[in-house]
Amino acid sequence: MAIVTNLDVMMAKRKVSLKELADRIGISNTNLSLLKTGKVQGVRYKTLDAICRELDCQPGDILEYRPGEEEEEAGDD
Amino acid sequence: MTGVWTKRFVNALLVLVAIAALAAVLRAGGAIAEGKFHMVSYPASSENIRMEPLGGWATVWQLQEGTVRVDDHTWLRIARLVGQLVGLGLLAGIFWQLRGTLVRIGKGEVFTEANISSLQMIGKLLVAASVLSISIVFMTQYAILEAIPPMEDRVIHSSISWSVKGVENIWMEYEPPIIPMLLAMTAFVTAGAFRSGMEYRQDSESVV
Repeated sequence: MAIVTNLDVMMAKRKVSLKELADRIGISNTNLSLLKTGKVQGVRYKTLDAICRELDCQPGDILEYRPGEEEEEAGDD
Repeated sequence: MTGVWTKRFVNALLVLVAIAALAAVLRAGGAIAEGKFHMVSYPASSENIRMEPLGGWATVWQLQEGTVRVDDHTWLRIARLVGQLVGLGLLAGIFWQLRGTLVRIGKGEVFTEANISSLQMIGKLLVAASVLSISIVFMTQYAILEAIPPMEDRVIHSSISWSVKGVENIWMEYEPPIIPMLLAMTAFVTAGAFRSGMEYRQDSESVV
C-alpha cells in the first residue's frame, strides 16, 4: 500500500505510549497497534479526529502517500 | 430455533429420506417376489371422459385418469429405481448442506465462506435433481411410446405433443420441476448475497 502510517513518529514526538493513546481516543490497544503498523483497510474519521486532537497534529502528519511503496512491499514478499 | 433443534429437525428429514429409499427398495423387492418387476406403469389422462351412471344419470362415475403400463421392461424399472435412489441421495445431500448452514447461522456465523459454499452446493444439487427428474421422465415416456404398437382409435402422447383428430388422445402426465429450479435460483442468489455480506463484514472488521 502506498499509504504509510507515521503514527509511531508522532507518538514518539509527543512522548505518548500506545496504551495511553488508546485509552485517550477510546479504541483497543490491538486496533491502535494494527493502525500503527498499517495493517488495516481503513480509518474512521472519528478515530482520525480523536488521534489528531490527542496528538495535536494534522491528518497529513499521520498518513503519508509514498508512490512506489507498494512495489517495494511486493518485492519484499 | 436453536442450533440443537435445527439439527434435530434436519436429522428427522434425513431419516425420512432414508425411509423413502428403503421403501423404494422394498417395493422393488416385493415386485420381484410377485414377478411384476418387468412392468412399468406411468400416469396418463385421456381427453375423453368415460361416464357410468351411478343408479341413474343424475349421479355419474367419471373416468379420465389412469396409468399406461408396459411389460417386459425390467431395464426401465431398474433405471427408474436407480434414478429414484440417486434423487433421494441428492435430496439427502441438500438436507445435509442445509443442516450445516442452519447450525452455523444458529451459532452467529452468518456471512462465512462455509455458508456460501453450502448454498452454492444446494443450488447445484437442486439443478442436478431437476435434470435427473426430467431425464428419467423423458426416458420412461420414450420407452413406453416405443413399446406401444400403433392403434386405430387411440394415440398415446408424450407430455409435450399435439393432439390427433378423430382418435382418442391420451397424454402421459408430467409436471416439470419448476419449484426445485426456482429454489436453485434462490440458493444461488442467496449465496451471492452472503458473499457480499462477507466482503462487507471483512471490510468493516479491518476498519479502526
